[in-house]
Amino acid sequence: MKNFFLDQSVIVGYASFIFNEPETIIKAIERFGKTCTDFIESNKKEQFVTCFYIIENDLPKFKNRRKIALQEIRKKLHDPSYEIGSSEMATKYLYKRDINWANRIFSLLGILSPKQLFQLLIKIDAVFSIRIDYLIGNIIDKIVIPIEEINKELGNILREFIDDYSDCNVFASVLQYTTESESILETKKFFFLTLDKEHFNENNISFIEQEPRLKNYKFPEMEILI
Amino acid sequence: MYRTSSYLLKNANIYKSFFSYIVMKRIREEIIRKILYSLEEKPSSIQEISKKVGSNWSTTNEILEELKKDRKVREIVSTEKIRLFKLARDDTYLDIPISNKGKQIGFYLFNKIKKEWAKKMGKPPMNTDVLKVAVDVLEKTNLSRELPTVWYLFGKIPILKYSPEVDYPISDIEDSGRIDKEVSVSIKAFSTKRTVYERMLQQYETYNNELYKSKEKIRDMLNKNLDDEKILKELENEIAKFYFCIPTKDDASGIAMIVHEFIILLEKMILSLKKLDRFKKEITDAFASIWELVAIYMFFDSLGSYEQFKNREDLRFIYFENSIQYRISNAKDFLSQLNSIYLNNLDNLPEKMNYSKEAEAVRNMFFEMGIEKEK
Repeated sequence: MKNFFLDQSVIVGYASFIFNEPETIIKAIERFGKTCTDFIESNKKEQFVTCFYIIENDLPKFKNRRKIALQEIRKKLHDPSYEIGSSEMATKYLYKRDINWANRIFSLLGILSPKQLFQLLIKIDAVFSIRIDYLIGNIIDKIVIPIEEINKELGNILREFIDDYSDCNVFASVLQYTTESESILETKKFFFLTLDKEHFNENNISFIEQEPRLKNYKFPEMEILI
Repeated sequence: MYRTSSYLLKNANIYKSFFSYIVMKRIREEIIRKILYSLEEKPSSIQEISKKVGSNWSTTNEILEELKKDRKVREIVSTEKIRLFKLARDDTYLDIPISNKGKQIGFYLFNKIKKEWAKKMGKPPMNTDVLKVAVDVLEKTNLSRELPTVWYLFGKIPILKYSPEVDYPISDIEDSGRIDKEVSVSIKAFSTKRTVYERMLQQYETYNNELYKSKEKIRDMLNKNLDDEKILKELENEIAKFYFCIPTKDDASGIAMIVHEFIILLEKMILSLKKLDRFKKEITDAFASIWELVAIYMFFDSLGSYEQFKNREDLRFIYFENSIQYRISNAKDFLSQLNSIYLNNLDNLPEKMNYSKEAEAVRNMFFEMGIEKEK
């Protein structure tokens, strides 16, 4: 049996496959979703793993930002003169790119009524969220390394190679898990599944693997789905 | 002789103690009066009160404890550093202060409505009828400036409580002629509706309050067969409408976030579990807790529109924050229970959404946020 570690990008990718549409009109975003879904569906007999950092930190934060961004859109739908991103909560929690995202969603009013737009946003958010819940509850077999057990020293070393703080914690969780559960690597294959070519490409990981301070850690096989 | 002097001396001491007891009692009563008077203005700490009434900290503290026991004051903040007290007013909702003029208008109005209603309808009015007619009259005569009207759980009400047992005293008030006229008009209008429920809906219509209309539709749907696909479809549309109508002011954002959680959770249950009748009680309870939260905000928000309550931050902190926090935690408990039910029953993925160009456009943008990395 193989072990697949699901990165957040794969979880979100799986959750984004929501339409029942013909192959011919499948667009880029749907392709991410379809690729992740097909992969997971066709490997259902294998073991899927993810880490607490993704489940308890990354995903809730991501959902919360989206929730706030949706509130901003709702405000703008009520009052077109409202400037998205100017509320106290948006200022505190949203990134500039989230505000741009909310503005782009609002621009869809050209083709939809406020009511239609709002209903679609709720429905898409709900379907997306069900798929995440289903993946976590019914497909992922194991969630590993509680956040407080992430090795800070390991995280700091990884930070020298990977500029994203969250990715460092996720990859530290992976290394700790593969190393602490040696049998996985001896008897089974352990794959790190991601869509993130930028941070987790093979060259980058091979380079990190050569770092002498990490010589005692077992590295997974990298599998970039796109 | 000796016995007589001793007797006199003893009696003199008794008189002296009695006299000093009377004096002390009067002083204490005066302090109590001053404390209550000082709290009329605004809630204060023990130190502030003791300064205002000219009494020392420990006496003030002791008297406040007594007044708290007698439910004449309430402690609204209780930390190691500070304790804040406010006046308990049993005649208004949430201890909201009103002017004497406002109170007189209210008493007059309640008295008039009670009598007129009984005369016209042949039976005493229900509480809610009196409140609804009173709101109508206060709004039409512009007297709500004196006796504010607010949106709450079942519609718009005056902030003065009505009790059918009370024989309201009547004093001469300006505009009594206009009030009398409007009471008759309003009772006539309400009397065309047979039930309290219909009269409640009439008020929502009159003020065109979409949020309250939507709340009532949802409550109505939750009483129906939640295994029926058609009902669930209607419920799906209505909860989106309800959510859309939630106030958008900055100070409503915490409440809107909880409503968001409820709406998405219910939508998830509709889409994935499909038959919801077996969870009717839990869904209804969760919605009731959400509505209690929204309604207390509506009370605060509508009261904040009056000149005398325009300092929203103070208004919220003094009269609403405790209730809001209590209801938030209550709503969270119900949501957590509902979420467990949903997760425990999530055995299948929902069907994929039907494709449309519009839905695709929303989806494409929607997922752009997901593809980007967290920082």
